[in-house]
Amino acid sequence: MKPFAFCTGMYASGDWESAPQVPANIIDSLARYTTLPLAPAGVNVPLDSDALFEHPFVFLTGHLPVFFTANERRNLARFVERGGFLFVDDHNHDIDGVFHRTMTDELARLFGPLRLVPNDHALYRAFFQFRDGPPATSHEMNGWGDNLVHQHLTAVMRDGRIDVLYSNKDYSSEWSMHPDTKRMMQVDPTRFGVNVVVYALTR
Amino acid sequence: MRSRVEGLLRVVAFGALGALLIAGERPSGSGQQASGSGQLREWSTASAPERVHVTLDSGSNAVTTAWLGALTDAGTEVGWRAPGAAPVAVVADPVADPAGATRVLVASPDGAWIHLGDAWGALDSLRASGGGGRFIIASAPRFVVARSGALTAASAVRDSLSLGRIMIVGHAGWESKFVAAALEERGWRADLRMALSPRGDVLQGSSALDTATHAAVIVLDSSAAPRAPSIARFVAQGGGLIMTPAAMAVPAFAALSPGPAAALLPAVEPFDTAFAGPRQSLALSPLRPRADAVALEGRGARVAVAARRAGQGRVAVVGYEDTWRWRLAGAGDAPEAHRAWWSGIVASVAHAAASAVPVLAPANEAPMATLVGRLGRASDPEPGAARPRSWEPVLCALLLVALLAEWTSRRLRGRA
Repeated sequence: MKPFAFCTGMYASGDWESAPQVPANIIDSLARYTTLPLAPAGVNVPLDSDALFEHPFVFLTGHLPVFFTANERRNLARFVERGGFLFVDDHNHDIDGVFHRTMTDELARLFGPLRLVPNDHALYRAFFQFRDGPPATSHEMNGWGDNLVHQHLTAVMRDGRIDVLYSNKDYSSEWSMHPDTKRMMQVDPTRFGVNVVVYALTR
Repeated sequence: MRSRVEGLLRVVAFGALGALLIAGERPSGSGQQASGSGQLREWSTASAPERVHVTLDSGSNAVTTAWLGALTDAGTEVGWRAPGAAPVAVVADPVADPAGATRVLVASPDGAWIHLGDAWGALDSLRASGGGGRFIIASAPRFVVARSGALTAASAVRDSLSLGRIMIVGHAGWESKFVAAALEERGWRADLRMALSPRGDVLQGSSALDTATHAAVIVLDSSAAPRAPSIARFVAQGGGLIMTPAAMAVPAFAALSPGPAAALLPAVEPFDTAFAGPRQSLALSPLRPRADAVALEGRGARVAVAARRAGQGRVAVVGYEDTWRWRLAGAGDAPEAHRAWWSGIVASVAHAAASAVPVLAPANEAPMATLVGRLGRASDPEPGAARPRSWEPVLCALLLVALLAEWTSRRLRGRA
């Protein structure tokens, strides 16, 4: 059985590599809390390559405007249609930022409009329990970016199942730390990352 | 006294002559039937021949056979032949598949074309090999008709299946996720038991396992070991079990398996998305089926899927690894093919409660066997149109003797 590999999607425009520590941090948490067979390091895969279909979980992040190429669009549409899970996080934490506006336009063009994920969705109890929905990030609490604490995530859903999960909460910043740093924290902020991966693997 | 004897002889002669004339009115000899039921109707109503010989064409059916059988019962000697007719036989059964498929098995001589149809028209055709052919029809017709050569066989679907749930047991991972997704998209209701952490498993759906609720259980790896006794009991009661070579590390599962697996042959890397045979690129642990097992699928000379009976249930082993790669990376309609393939594997072992449905159309699953059973073996028509009845020479002799005796008696009057 192929182990789970945390895959970051590479797109031609923008800065796909803006959160390079996220994969290692989430892999560390998955190894800490679960018995999942894991690839020890994350992989980066171009969205316009066939290698995309070797990784049913793909993470996208960035600060800059995103304009997918035709091949990237074709592959992403096929990837999601076949059951792949796409997790997109706005590294700006700004609903007026260029990443949010361009990425949501691209996703809406490919999959239709994003809808609010109810805070009692299975995503929030896939492993850890998040009774109030998506956990707030320190960047939200500090008033950076759009100065909002986003109460919901949004998603493209099919029969209640999330195909594309979109976050304005800037988990890319929240999870950009060395894994050992988590030992000094009262609550591990990457626990929600475990939920996202477990949800993708089990639903 | 002499005149009385002569009178008696005249009566005998006229009686024999009358009997011969009456018998001459009844047809005797070989009939040829090649144009529907018109001749049959005439034989049954206007005249009842003593002996007929029919040549059956492709329009012959169960009604014709029954009609000829009735003529036989009424005293007519019926001979028949069916030039070019292949001894075709057909049986149709519902497949344990929520999509409502029907499996049709047709027996026919090798090389003959088999044409399959239903009430709406043609469905499929193939050339028989290995003693016949096998069709899987996506729809659920109430009856099917198979034509091979001059004979047509018809079979009614007599059962309706009630399908239970599928339980999938294994580590959380892409294989368990996509097998469950494929089966649910096909219409199966799936329960999941996924090992995820020391704190517990991911549980979705029902936890009880018995043939009243479940059709089959899929064991993807050895994480199902704690449930092995209940799964073995489920199989003994008639439930289906599908497992992977990884699951056979558990002795209880190995005891049920159709055979051991050899070392893993790695997948084709990078995965060949355009490969004509999608499962050719998957990693495979070739199976070595036991004597009581059957191979369901092969890759070249290697066995990829095998099955056997265990108790009242059936057990299959899938030697492929990470079949989700086929669904995600396969060319063309890979998701649909992945769904159909997994559903087919489940259908081959699934427990399904059958209930009878009314048969609306007359069935004749094996028309050649029915013909032979009803009318005897096929024969060629005898040369010549008529064959003398056995009593006719006696009557003729009696007529001649009576007339000769009466004539002789009259000639000898007055001489004695």
